[in-house]
Amino acid sequence: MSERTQLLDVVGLRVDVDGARLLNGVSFELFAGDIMAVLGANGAGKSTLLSVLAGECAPSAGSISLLSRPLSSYSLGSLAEIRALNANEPSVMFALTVADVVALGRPFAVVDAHAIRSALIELDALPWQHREFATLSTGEQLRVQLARSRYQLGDVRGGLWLLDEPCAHLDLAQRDFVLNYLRRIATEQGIAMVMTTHDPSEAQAIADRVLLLRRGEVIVCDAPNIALNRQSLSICYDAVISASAGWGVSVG
Amino acid sequence: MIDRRAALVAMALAAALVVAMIGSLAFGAYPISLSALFGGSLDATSKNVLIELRAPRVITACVAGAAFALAGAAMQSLFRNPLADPGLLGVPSAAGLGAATVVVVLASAGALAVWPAAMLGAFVAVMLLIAFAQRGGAQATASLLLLGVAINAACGAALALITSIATESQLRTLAFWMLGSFANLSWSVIAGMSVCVVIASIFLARDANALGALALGERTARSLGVDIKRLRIRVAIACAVLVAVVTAFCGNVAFVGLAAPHLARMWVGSGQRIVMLVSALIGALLCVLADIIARAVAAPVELPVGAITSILGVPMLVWLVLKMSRAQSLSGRSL
Repeated sequence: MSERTQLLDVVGLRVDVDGARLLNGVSFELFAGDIMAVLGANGAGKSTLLSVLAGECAPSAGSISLLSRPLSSYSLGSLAEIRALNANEPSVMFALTVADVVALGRPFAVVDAHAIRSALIELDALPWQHREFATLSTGEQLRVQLARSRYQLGDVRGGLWLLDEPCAHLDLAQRDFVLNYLRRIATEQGIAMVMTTHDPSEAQAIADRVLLLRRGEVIVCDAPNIALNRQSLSICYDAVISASAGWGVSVG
Repeated sequence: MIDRRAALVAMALAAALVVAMIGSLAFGAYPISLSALFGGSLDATSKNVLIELRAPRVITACVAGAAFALAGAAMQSLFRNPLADPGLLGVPSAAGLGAATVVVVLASAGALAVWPAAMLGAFVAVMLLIAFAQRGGAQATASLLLLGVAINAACGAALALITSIATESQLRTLAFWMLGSFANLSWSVIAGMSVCVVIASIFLARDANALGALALGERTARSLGVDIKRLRIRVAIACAVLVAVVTAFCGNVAFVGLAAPHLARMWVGSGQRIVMLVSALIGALLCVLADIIARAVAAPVELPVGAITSILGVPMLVWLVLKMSRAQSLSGRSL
């Protein structure tokens, strides 16, 4: 698979829910190995975009192609083989162990203990494998959930990995670890990633492309050093953004 | 993943169940000695008691317990709710109401109409719960249980109305399964009940992996290939069948559907398949034991078996509620 395999082709996406236009005219393409960061104020449509890309709801207009096939033509099962989703769901039921959670990455397949182990090793989570998932810290839980997606995708090349604010509750070290990990997997396995975030510096750190959303519409979709600037971010957040020490809202 | 420990637990439970069943066969107003039972030297009366009274009763208890436990295990996973017991959610009440309606309103209809009516009642209740869970989101543990309270209350009220117009003999039939008993079922009824339970169990076993994945949340499960909408319907039908066939002939066997899956998870971890298998074994064992207790405590008077399972199950419910509220106050998360 060449580096430039087109994974996602999104054209003129529109999503209306109960009369509200959540996304309008969103178009972009994403290639194997590329990470796209999606930024926008709360309610700008980031989660909606992720949800539509995951195939959870159908767009009102426009088209989504995954590996040159319409997304809607995939069965849930065949989609699960090439697309992973980390959706920040609240809690895991029952006293599942860390290894149990990772194993659920492929609920219908024969358990591959070796692959589970290597996913846990990659995310530095092997020491917890017999611990109850619910007793882990937020950052640890996230890493286990990433290992679960990693196990789900396995050795697939050119898959799609959707991540909803993966670093939202992480301390600096954990965030560094996770971002580096995602960057490495994307490059090594040619997996395309779409991740939402509230932090432009995350986008700057690992993204190949940045999509800025404002009220469901794309402000800019380009390389980070072009897309991320004071002007675009100020429009994006309806606020005066300064770049003095990283990206921040200027006070006063 | 079925590990060695889980396999040992399952085998130990199966052995305990066999012992309890043999004990139940031997025990009663007309005692049958174990040596005669195994030596094959039974007299005619013993044989008669065994085949006409004891054996049907023991098998009924097993089937009923396993059915309620399985339905409980499946519903807990489906609703992502540790308190999703068929009884607490009102499914047996709805099945009972369906059966009662047929007994009283369509007085001419025989036993053949009671099953479908009970199933219809149970199915309507489960679908109501599912529609509610779909709207309320995954965290609506408390509100789901309140809906269960409402279903129980509504069915109770309707049942009261129906009993007020019932005749003497109809009342006797109604009282019989309101109390719950494993006695007096014919072999053909037991066979029919067993077939229904086995078929529903096979369907649930096929969906065990999908139900297991639901532990991660509905969105995640869907992203892993679980078709949640279809799963809900299939599991709803299977649970309705399990609860309805048992309720129609044994009444509500309270709390087995709550206690068995929790004990199973404590003993064998979280693999859905093994949890369901072990739940069924525990449920069967609980009911066989409850039946022995019901016959032994006030002999020769027989206590209603539903009362016995309630006495065993209520402390379990209280313990679970305490555990959950403690977890809630620690983490600040909602039920």
